Amino acid sequence: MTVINIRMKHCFNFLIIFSIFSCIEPSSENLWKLNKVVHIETEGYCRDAYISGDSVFVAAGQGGVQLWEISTMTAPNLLWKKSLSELGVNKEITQVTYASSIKQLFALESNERPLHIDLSSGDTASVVGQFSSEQTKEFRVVTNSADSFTMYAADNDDGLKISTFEFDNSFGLWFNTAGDEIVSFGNPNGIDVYENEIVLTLDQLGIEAFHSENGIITSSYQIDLEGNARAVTMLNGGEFYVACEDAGAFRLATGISAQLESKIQFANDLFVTHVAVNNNQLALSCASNGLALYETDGNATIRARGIHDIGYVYHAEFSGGYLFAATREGLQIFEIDE
Amino acid sequence: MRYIAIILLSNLWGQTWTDYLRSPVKWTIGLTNGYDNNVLRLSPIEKDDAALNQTILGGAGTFDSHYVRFSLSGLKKIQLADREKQIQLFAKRNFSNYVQYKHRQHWSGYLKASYHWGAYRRLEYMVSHLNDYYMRHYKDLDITVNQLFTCSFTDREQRLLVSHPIKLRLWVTGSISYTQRYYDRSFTEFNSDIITTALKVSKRFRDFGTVSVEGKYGIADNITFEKVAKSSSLDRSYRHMELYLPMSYDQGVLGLKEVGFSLRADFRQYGVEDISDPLHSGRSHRETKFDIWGEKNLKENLMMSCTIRFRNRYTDSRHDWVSELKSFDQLQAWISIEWKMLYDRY
Repeated sequence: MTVINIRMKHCFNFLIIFSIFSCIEPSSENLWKLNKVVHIETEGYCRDAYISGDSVFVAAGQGGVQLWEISTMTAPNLLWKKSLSELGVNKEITQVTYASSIKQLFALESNERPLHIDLSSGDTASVVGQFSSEQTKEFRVVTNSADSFTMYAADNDDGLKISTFEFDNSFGLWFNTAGDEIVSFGNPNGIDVYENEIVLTLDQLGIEAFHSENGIITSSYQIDLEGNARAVTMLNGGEFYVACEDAGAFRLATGISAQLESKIQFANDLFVTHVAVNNNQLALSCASNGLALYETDGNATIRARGIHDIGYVYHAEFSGGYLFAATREGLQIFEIDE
Repeated sequence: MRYIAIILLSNLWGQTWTDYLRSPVKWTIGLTNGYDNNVLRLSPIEKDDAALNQTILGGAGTFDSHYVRFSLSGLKKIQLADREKQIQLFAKRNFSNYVQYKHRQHWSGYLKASYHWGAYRRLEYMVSHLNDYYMRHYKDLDITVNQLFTCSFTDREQRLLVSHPIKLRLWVTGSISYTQRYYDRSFTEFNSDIITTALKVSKRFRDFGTVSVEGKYGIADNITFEKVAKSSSLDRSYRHMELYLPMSYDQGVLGLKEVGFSLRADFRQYGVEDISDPLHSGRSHRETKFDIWGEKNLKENLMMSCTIRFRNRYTDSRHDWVSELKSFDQLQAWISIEWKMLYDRY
């Protein structure tokens, strides 16, 4: 019979201590989690969302335009919706932008002209009309004053289209008071504006940057990129992210003399249609592959933080610490858990 | 750690710890020259695919590889006051280099501490480590759609083993082991803790050699199931059973000191039953390894051995294409030379 004496007891204690110290720790993938806050059914495909305070304007594809109130994030409330027939258009709505200071809403009928909707009369949304050029792919609105705005449009057949509107109090109408059309190096399909700098995406020809000075807009430079440049997100006048569809995405930085200082390609094997930026967080809209998250240190390092199958993603935006994803399945709102 | 062990153990038998250092240390240096005809364990279908898309080979140009392994081991026997009792400390470290597969370069090693209290009577604790062992390039679906990344894992195994005689030259060995198999950061969804129990009965025949039968049963718990990103949504836990039959003849034949062969049959059943994932759902595999070896003492302190191993894995699935994709054959052959030395400072 084996007797466990004090010496063997020490032996067992030693084995237990040794075992504990012999264990290893697993590696961490450092992937970010997406915690879904709410999923909003938008009837049509949710193509785009614009967040303004507690309001979310939704480009709901063939469902038209919708306004949701999200003061209670987990219980969104539909304030109103405008169908295509109410908007007087036939094709789906692909983009929506709201100029809060002048209470004017702008929506884009797919590959047609932007729509101008007046929201200055309380909860009533009245369509002012369509303007600018057909084959508009994307636009940006800059508010000049309390009664004036300028729209910059990526006009696929003409180039960069600029339209300035002013509100005439005597008629109570918005009038197109100025406009210009600047031929671009290729056919634009995306646009972003930062102060005096404008960047167009030119599909197979990369991007073209313009500079606005005293109302005169001139082409600054053009950078060819792999893939089809689809959408651009400007961080400032010289740094921006470009979604290049099947070539992934690029982070470009240009110097004072508009020379390319750095070009970082990432998400190479994903089909990227848009890049949303929130400090160190990047959210890439990847069509049928969902949403891809990346982390940037603001310089040369961009690290993958996970792909999330949340449906077919058209567009994403950050606002108030939340990530709004416009998907075929509707508008999905997430929090990122790093 | 070694000194801590000695200090702790020295309290047990009433001698000062320095007394135990007076036994010699046996050192062994080994060099292995080997060949592996299917390093990545590719099935015939995957080999055909690799002809069109070489990225699966992870930068290598061939399916096979020559490899070299250098090993260093040390054994210290500490005789206790009772002449039948002794403590053995054994450590071994291997460095492996695959000439055609640079990613497969790795090291491994183990530490064993055993207490012997008579013939075939021992209690042994072992810690082994396999460091960053490259399997092949796989897609990391958490961050990419098509890009391949190196997939490697690290094993840390701890085993407690007891051996005891049953009759004359017949003994039984039982063990329980805990293995932490943790993958590199791209593939942590495969991380598993594996508990394995084994029972082995061995018989030594006079004028022949040793014959053993071993049975193993293990459960692998996929500890990252549903804990990391989307690829962890699949439970990769499994159960496995293994039968091992080694036989050695040590009476000298054809100028060899010992010859032997062994048969190892392993059956693994994955737990996952996901109809949307035909590649993994309801999958199991049967693996057979057949080894044949011979050993020869070139000199008193120089030993050479030669081993040939044939390995076959058959994957069973309700889908034929999964079976064809995951079944493979492998042939390995190696020659080892070991040089034994004695270090005795007294």
